Amino acid sequence: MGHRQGDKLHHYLPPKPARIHGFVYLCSPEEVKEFSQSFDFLNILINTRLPVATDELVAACLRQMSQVYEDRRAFLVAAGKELAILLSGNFNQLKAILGRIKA
Amino acid sequence: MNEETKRLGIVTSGSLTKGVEVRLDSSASVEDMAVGRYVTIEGEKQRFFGMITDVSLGVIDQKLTLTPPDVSDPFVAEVLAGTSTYGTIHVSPYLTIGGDVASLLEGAQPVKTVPSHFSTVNLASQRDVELVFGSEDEKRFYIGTPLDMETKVCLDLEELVKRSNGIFGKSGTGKTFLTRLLLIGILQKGTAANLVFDMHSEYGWEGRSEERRKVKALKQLFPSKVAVFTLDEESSRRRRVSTDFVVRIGYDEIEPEDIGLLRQTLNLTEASVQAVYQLYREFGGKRWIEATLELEEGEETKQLLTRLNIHDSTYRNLRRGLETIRRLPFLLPHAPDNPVKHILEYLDQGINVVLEFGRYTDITAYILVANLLTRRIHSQYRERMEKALGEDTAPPHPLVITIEEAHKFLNSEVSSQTIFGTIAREMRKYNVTLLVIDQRPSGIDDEVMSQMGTKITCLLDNDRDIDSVLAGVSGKSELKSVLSRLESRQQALIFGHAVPMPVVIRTREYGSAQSYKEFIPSRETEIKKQAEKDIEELWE
Repeated sequence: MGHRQGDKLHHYLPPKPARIHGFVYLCSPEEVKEFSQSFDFLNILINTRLPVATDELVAACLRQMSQVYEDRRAFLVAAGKELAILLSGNFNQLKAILGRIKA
Repeated sequence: MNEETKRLGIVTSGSLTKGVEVRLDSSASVEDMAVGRYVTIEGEKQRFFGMITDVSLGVIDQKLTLTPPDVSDPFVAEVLAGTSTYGTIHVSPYLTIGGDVASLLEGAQPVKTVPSHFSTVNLASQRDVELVFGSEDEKRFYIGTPLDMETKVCLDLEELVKRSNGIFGKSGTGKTFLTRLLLIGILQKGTAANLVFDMHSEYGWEGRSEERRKVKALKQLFPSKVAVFTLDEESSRRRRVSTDFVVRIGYDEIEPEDIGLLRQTLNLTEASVQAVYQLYREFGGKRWIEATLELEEGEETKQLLTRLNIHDSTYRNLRRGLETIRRLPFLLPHAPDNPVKHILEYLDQGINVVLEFGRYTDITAYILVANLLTRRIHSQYRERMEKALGEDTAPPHPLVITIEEAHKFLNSEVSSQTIFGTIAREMRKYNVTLLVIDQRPSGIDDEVMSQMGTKITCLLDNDRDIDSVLAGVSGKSELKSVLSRLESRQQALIFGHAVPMPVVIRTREYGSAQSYKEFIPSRETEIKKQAEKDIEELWE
């Protein structure tokens, strides 16, 4: 969904895919918090074609992220607003996701 | 966010003629918006000052309107507010503030363009409103406050009295209170002398509010500057009004034009009005009414009428009309005193004259007296103005004549004949203007309406009345929505010459002890004024 180059965090995919056999770590809460300052990644998530339903993925992702925030609800509302704009033409999908991230 | 600059949203579309659309931020609730409130728009180069003229709701996806979301869930409701569903307001920009040199020198300028896309829209702060409507000073009079604000809206009275003005509104909406305020303003600032034809005797000594509470009127507040004239001494005495003069009018002062005006109220035919002129010529100006009424049935009268080419039925019609006039108790065969002379004497001293009609609230009496007196005052003013022009002396002090039920004088049938029609059209040049009070503005001649400088209108709900009041104003359809939504009391829309842009006000308080105190200028300002006057005279 994004990458870090030096100190800077980018909310788009890196020019090269990750190295094969690279180690995978869980993000620390601080990193999650830093990354989720911007909701640009939602666009990537919604537009990827995956075997699992996008709605489920987006909702799960946001639920996870919200746990690092003290005010979970405020975070989810802000994310919901972003989704409402992204999914302006598809109200049913928006409704499905909102149903899944309800605080 | 502080109250001073509350952000509302951004401009999304619009045009100069139709106004701009503003999309509200999710933080601004549609329900807090109200038509008539002021906003500022921060354009790239200039600030725009405008008024909310419409509020509407929008959705991003039409499906939402078909299958409404479950807003009972606060989370969903909060997410959707301002994103999928949003409020829009329609703003009519009226003025630009600041920016170029012209606005720095002359204050706000009329708007000639629209703000660029996505300019920020804020609720106007107290300071902005003050900048636009000025603060109370020597010629500005505080008339009320804008809706939901504490700032004062001031009328430039010097500009106001230069043209004829109108106060309109349904009955019971506060026309009388507004008029009283305006009269006090004119009196307080001394921009003009007032002559009030007070049909219901409520401007001179005291009036009553809707709750039947007594309120002081002009004479009680400014005893030395107001003279109360009365047509009905008895009624004035009963109401314990100290009157300065009792007006009596002689038959010899009534001229054919006066009868022409009364055609409708006296139910006269066109032929009868023509006959009046003939009889006037026949019997002479001094005693034509008496002579006509004294004509007896007989051969002689018949011969006279045949000679004058007056049909018998016409004569009867006219006679009936004249009898009605003769029954008015304040009419005498010969008046002992000349009321016009007295009125002018007072006006010359800068004393305002209120003419009470007492019990004679009948429209015949009102039209007759108002027209008769005004015509003579008008000719006097005309003479003086011409003299002043010729001799290069000071022109006469501006005079404002207040008339009620104006549609009776100024309807399209008679406005070309009455003196009031003439004044409304051209008397500005002679320093005489009208303050017209009416509840059916649609009855007033279009030509007269179009000449009015400033119009103050309370609630009107008849479409024709609204149309005639707003005729020729830019942004008419927007103002229409504002006007028809005024509250039925204490609110008024002002637009025209004396204010930089249309404004909805909550009328200044009138009737409490504190309010009276504020009207009367303090001694210090009086002394200062006098001192300035003395200095001026010293140098003359």
